[in-house]
Amino acid sequence: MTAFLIRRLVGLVVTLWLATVVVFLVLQVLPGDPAALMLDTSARPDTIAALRHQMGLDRSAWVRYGAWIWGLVRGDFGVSYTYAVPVSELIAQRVMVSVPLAVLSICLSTAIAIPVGVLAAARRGRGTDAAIMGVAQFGVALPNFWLGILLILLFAVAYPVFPAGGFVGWEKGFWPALRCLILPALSLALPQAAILSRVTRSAVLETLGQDYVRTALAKGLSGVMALWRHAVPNALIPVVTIIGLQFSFLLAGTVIIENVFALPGMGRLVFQAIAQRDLIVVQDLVVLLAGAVIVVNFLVDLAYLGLDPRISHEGAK
Amino acid sequence: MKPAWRNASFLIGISITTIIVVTALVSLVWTPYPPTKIDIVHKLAAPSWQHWLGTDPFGRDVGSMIMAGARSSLSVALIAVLVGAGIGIPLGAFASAVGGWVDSAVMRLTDLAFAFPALLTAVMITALAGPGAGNAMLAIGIFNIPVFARVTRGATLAVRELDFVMAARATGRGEFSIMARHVLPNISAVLLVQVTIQFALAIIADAGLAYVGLGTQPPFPSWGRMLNDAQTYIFKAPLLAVFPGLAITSAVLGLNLLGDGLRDLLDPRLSSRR
Repeated sequence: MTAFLIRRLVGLVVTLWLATVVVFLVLQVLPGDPAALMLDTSARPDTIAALRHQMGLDRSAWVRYGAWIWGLVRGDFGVSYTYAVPVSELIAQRVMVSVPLAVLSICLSTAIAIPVGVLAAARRGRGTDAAIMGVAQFGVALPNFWLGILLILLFAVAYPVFPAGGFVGWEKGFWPALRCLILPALSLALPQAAILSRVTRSAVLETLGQDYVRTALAKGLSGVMALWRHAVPNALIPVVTIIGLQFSFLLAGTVIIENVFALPGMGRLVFQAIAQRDLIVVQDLVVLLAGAVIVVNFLVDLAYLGLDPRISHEGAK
Repeated sequence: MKPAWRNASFLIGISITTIIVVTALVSLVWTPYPPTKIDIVHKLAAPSWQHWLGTDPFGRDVGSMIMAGARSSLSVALIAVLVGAGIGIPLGAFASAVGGWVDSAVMRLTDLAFAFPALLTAVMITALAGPGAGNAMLAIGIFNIPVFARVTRGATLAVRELDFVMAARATGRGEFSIMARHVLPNISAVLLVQVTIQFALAIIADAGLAYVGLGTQPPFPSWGRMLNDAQTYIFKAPLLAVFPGLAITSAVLGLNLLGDGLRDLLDPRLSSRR
């Protein structure tokens, strides 16, 4: 058990490190000189060279990578080229929008998908099942940014109950800020919920066919009890796997959704940083988001241990 | 095996997909109006007999733009999937044929690729390398590579243990020759289903990139861009935001249904509806 944890932790660190290498390399290969872009197009070559020196861009790639990684390890994300403030400050402001948005979306999607998926499995082959799966099939095909626009049409234009975009800030109070996140979170959550409800349905159908469910029914347990006490808990492994995988989609989705709703989150920051060739901010943000995905997948692996006592990983290679 | 015409998913899926492909092809030779033709006098017209889906803020015919948009959307998705499958399938087959540390290394690389939120990285690549359909194809294609590599490896591993592969091995054929002649043809059903799934995802990704201004560039119409333009006029002309979204959703729905149908028809063991 301990050996498994150590092995997984080493793997986690190696993957995180490789992620920094990939991001750094990609940004080296792609065209665009940050110094030239910050200055006017009429800037003289020696002015650009001076700025490059000031920004440390004239150092070799090895030195720059080393300096960046050494900073990351110490929690120093560097200083933004364009804003001239520490990147950690920029990120800290945006995290207060993106993380609540992501958490709200995961909660909404799980809260919708699991009951609906279980209901479809319990009513397998009947009208309810067909209706739920039909809606889910449609939901899977919905691009979240279009859903966002439709929600704006419905709840901000036709029946103005939520703002069409923007964010008031948490200092204005919990509810006013949350109100700004409801529509974006729904746009992210509903397509995910469609996928998750299909996974839940088939996982529950799988466990409903198992011997222990038959035994539970044979000993006189009601169908509902057998479903919730025996079939559903055992169906959770694939469901949790998909929730973990969806986290990555969700992070990418926020990039577009924050644009749809003009939310000042990390996605918007990535965009601004890319447009201004603020490469240090891009580098930090992409590594941070990839790191979040890697850590979540690690936690999902650990969750298996809690969910299924048969998985001990003692014998695993 | 149930005949194809009894499988509802397959029938609906193939019909929608055919309609969209035909629309894209027809737009090459004919659209009701030239999709880039500006006609300020008739801007923001409601749907009518002249303009079935109305006109946009520049007076361009929305129906014609959606037809032309199908072409750009399908071509970006097609190339992206070809890039992904063209590199991913040989990579996965190679990893599974060679085995050992090569196999582990390829699998760790795909793990690493999955850690990067695909659309976010596609945004980064297209924004830095320059917006446009070409870079969008590559950026989406890159993230199809690990998917195809994984699926191919997984599927070949199962087939490689079967008797007919053993027999081929006994006749002295090399691993690569067995892979090409016996294993890959046997997993073509799995791969075909994966192609439809990735095609659908690529259409969504392309629309997303175009929405944020990084995909197909104006004046050539794209569904994603149309949605972005429509958002500015959402109070004046809400319908503008409806049609391009419907186009994206039906294309994706059609491909997903086609994939489900193919899975049921080609490989009953993989069927999702038991």
